[in-house]
Amino acid sequence: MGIGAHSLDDVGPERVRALMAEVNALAEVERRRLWHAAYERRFRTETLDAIAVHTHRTASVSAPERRVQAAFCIDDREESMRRHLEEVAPWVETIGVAGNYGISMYYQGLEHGHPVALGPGGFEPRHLVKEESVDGTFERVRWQGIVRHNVNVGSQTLFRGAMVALGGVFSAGPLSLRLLAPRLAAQLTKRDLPQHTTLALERVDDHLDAHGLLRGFSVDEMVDIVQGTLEFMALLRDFAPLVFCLGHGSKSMNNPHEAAHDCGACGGGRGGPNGRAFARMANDSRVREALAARGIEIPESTWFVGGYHNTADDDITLYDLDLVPADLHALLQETQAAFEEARAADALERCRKFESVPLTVTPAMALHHVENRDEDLAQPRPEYGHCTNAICLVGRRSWSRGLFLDRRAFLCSYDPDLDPDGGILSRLLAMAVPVGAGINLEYWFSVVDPARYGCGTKLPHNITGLIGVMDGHQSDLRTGLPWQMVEIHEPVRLLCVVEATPERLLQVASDHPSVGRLITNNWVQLASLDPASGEMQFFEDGAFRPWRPERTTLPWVASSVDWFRGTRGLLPPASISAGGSR
Amino acid sequence: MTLQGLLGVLGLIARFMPVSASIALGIPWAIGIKMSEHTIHRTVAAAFGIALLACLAIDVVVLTHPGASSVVTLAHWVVVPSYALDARVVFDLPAAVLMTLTAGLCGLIGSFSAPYLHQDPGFRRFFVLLPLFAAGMMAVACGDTLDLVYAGWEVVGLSSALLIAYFNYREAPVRHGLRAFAVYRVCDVALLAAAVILHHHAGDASLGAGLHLDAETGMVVAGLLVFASMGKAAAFPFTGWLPRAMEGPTPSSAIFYGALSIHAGPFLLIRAWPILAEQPVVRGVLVVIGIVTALHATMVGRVQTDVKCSLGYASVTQAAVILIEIGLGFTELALLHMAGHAILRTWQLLRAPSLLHDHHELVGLIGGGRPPRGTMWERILPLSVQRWGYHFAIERWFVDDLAAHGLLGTLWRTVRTLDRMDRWWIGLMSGKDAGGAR
Repeated sequence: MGIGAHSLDDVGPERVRALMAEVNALAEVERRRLWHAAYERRFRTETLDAIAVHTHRTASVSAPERRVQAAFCIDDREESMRRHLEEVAPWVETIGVAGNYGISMYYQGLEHGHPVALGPGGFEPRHLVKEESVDGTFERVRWQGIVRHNVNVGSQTLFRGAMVALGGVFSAGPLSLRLLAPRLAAQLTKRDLPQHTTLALERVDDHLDAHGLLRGFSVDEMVDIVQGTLEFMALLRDFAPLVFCLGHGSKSMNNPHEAAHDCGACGGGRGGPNGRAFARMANDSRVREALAARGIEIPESTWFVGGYHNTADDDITLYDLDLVPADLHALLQETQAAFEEARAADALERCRKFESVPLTVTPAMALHHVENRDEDLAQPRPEYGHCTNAICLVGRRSWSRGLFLDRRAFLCSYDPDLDPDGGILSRLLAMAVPVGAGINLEYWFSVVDPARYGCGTKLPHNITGLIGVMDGHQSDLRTGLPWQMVEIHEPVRLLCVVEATPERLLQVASDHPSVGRLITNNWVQLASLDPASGEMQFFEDGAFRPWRPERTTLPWVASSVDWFRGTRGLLPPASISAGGSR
Repeated sequence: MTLQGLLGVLGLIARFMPVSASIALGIPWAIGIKMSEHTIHRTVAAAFGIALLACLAIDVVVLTHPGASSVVTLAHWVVVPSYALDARVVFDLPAAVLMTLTAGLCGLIGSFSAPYLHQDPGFRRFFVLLPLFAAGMMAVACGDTLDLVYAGWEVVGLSSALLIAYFNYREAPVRHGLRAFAVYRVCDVALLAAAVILHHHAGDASLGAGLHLDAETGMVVAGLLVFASMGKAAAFPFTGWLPRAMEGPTPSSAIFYGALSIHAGPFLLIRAWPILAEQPVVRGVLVVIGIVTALHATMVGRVQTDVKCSLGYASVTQAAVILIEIGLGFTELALLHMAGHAILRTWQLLRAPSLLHDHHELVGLIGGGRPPRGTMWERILPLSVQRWGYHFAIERWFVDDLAAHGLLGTLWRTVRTLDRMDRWWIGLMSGKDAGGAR
């Protein structure tokens, strides 16, 4: 609430008594509603005031030299990654875009048994894309799977079980190793997948396969996808020589809720292939020609690189590096080094919220820790997922760059200058607001009533029928998020700050009922940041009203690490000099 | 130092490490001294680490010197003229196997549970109960006299029931913990009776050789021991408590039902082999019990839809096979089977929450769906029999309801009636209503 207990000492016993009488006079529900409103008000004030100050500060700063652009998912977990990347490499500009990169497909990687849908939820993909081994060296190690399956099934039967159990003493070694040194055990048992693979991305013929899917995308479809996504990225001019397009996902062990940490924009899948496919499309000369005809000129010197960010161990994988033109190799290497440094800093920032990690660890130790963590069978909190999410910023990176938001913000790129008629904004908000609100409310409800809206503690969870979890021996299927995923979440409704005029926002709300209902029924909070004047207005009781900042100061620190070092709890915003705000 | 002296020293170290840890953690807990998770975990890890080293040393000794054993008298509990009640422990091959398993697996479970239960309200309770359970297992493993085994046996039962009921704010865990406890108690009566009979007839409750029992007494004692072992081993018809015990956190399920607790039953019989060896009839009954249990568990286990219950029934199946092996006299095979099964099942249970992950990986390796299972039975049996069998299995042979409502229900009602009478009687004597006479 921002009011310490000592404030009560200052007002005197008379007024405390009066206050308590007021509090006690309230009905239970009303009292809670007021508490919650006050709680949200403080958070809102802190955030909007910080944005007002920070926007003002960055307005006077000339844009840094831009050699690389790196797109990440709008996911709140990428907020810190982007901030650290820009801190270690001021010549990088980051971009926030839905992690499906406008592609909806069934994807089958080499290590997949069957295709998985990667694309926005609610849409059935019509295309199938397969990963293929370039040199044809990949062969499925089928026998390994069959042996493993038979041992596992056999161990649960009568006669074969006895045979397996008699040899069971030999599993003592692997068991101890897996439990005591998870990272090492994982490295030893890692499957070697071929490095040289390619996506069968382009459609050769229009035949539908047995499941009614088209094999790959036609060039025309690619052009539409690339155009739509570049619009969402607010990247229609000023292309840097290298543009990275990173999808994300999360790997963890002993976690029935593993998929809940994957990319929401990919329908709960791992979005690496989307970034990779998008980069391939955007590099295609035929696509570029068609785009040029539509007024989007991607210079010949620009190259797109797809990648994948594992948010559990902060690993970044880049795809198809063998195709990168030679003159960009130096820049590529420089960027890879920046990624390495940024992911260690990101791991450090994540570790501060893990109670089991001392606050004194170095970035390298933090990285080692998270790499161990996602392989650890005993770890019920491989990552905190969207925990603490509370903000959604839609607008140019120039005013949010260098603002420390403590991994709490969905960041969508949007440039009002590129969108004179508001069409892009309309499509963008129709996608981003329901997704952000959905995630935010899922956490909201799961933390407010963990036993009923959430699925309780995950410790006794028992997977049943490969479809869900029960509590222990027998219970209803548990829905919602487990306590270990939401325990540090602060239940506040999503605060959206959009760089657009109030009129335009009201227009979007009336055009898209899915957005309008969320706003008018107060499931999300909405503020408008005027693109021209930088003034803010907050939507309350059915109308926008000017936002009057309560505070006009904002801490100014050299780097993110300086701000969060040595702390565990949530931190208020701050301006980061290294991030480009000075 | 003689071999026996060495064994004795090592054995006592291993024997008393868990109980020391439990006391070291339990007393501060009881009097309300705060301890960090780190300290608690370190204490448990150190205790099990030392115990495991001692156990491994014992293993080396007993494996390199076949037949080596060392009997240590801890104390004379009761000494009257012409009679002495000794607390004796023995360190030999069977003891070495179970002690190593206990120290090793409890140590691993301890290190697993520290991050797993991090910040859980019951963290401390778990880490007091875990070494307490291990202390009970150690007492069972190396108890030479039945009294000492009985003491350990009770500690194992109590700590197991408390860990099943770990999430004591929900109803189901407490109910199922109580159920397991009730089954344990019913079977424990037999163990206590066996101890009393041994004292009465032989003047000593040693399980080792050298007891001279007449045929009838021997048979009664052996029968009682078999009955006593059935509860812990979840043998038919007592199987029902085991799947219900999957209420605690994953690591406690792994250790109690998969790995150690379920093997305490067979182990008791291995320990009492000198008595059992002379009773072919009882051994025959044991083999039959084993066969029925194995068939029951494997059949019921096949229709379970959730991972923990199917693993639970798989554990019962193998425990039953171990009972058969003992009945047939292959005690050393049974020991090996026990050790392998305990380790394997611990692993499988600890990994149970990875089922979906592992499934995707498996499908990826095979490149499609999982190979079908059970096709042989589908070919052999007509559809009507298959359906009937499925129904029979999913209802767990109907014994569960029978046991719960018949046997335990009767017991429960009797206890309640006695309690009511007691309160009424006290009320009558003290002249006021004690609150129980409803």
